[in-house]
Amino acid sequence: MIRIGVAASGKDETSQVADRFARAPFFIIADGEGKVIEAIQNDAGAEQHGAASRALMTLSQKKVSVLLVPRMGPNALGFIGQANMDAFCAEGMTVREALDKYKSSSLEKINK
Amino acid sequence: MKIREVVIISGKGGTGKTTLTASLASVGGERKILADADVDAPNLALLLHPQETGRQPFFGMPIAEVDHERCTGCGICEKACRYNAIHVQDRKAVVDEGFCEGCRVCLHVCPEQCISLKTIERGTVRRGDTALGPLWHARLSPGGENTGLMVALLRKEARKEAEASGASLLITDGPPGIGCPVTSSVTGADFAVIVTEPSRSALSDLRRAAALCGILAVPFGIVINRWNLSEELTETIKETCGNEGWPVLGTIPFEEKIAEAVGAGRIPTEEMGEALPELWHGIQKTGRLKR
Repeated sequence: MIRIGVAASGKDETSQVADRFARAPFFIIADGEGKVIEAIQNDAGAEQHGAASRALMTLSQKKVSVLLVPRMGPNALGFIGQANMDAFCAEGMTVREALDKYKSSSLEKINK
Repeated sequence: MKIREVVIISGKGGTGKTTLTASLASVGGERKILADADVDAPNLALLLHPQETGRQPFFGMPIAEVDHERCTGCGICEKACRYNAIHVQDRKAVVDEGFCEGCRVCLHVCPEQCISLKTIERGTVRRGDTALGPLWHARLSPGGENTGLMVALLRKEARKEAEASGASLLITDGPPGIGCPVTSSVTGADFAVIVTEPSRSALSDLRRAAALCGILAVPFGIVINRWNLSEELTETIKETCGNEGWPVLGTIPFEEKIAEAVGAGRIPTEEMGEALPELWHGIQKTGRLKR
């Protein structure tokens, strides 16, 4: 069963997808059907450099393999390749909308 | 109203980001907020002369601190530290705060468990009023460096103020290079202006800056500053932009009077002449900043 991680500006599925990935305030974890399992506070936002590696470490420990994000920087893209994760662009929508659009395969894949 | 955010970057340093940021801010009529994200060399204030209205300390990454009551001076931490940032002096481990990267290895290896992390002040975030609008900028403590975190913080404050005050435009003077602070200043922006100049290194760095904007899906356009210093290389840059499909927003000539104005701490709005409003028009059009 896959797990989905959404970069979010708030704690629940009505909040907006964050405007940045690695320093997003929260990550919302959902199952493959888009049902929310939990919201975790993203402590990687406090990193001076390389917040993406810390955020992705947390997400992979939560067994997340699909990321719904605004966009990703070059380092983050490199890491998700190594971690066998996929990322999809979910800019300017709520977490709920992002999960629904992922389920209906209407989000653009960011990594090649 | 949705706030539009324009970030000025360059790849290569010294191509005229700050001069252009201040000049562009001086021609647009809309209410705006300015941010200087080049915290290693924050020089937008030199042209904008802000009246400071507030400052807050910036706490960076936590670093190691040794409890000397319990430290036995065994030296295990010194051997484990990859940054050469902890040394036993007079039988006590001493942290060199300038070198410590906060990696926590010493905390893990210390048999006495007498090392902890402490947060230290790395600089101040400042706000000032200027003739062109509020300016958010920062000063680092000696030994501090600009970081993605610092840039994210400045942009957050500037955006918050734009939202609260109803300003429609946020102009960010970005850092040079394409590293972490630059990624942090470009991500989520509405448009990036890449300032280049007719030199081989500037062209090479232009490619890297454009690639970064591509990865972050931020639309961008190019300004060729001091174009007349090498008409030949300016042609090469224009050809490259044409081949790659990168829009050239405008060109600014090198003129002594521009350099003199900047040297005197003045924004060279008049000295740049017609090129400047034309360039701003190009940015608004290509960046779809007008509605």
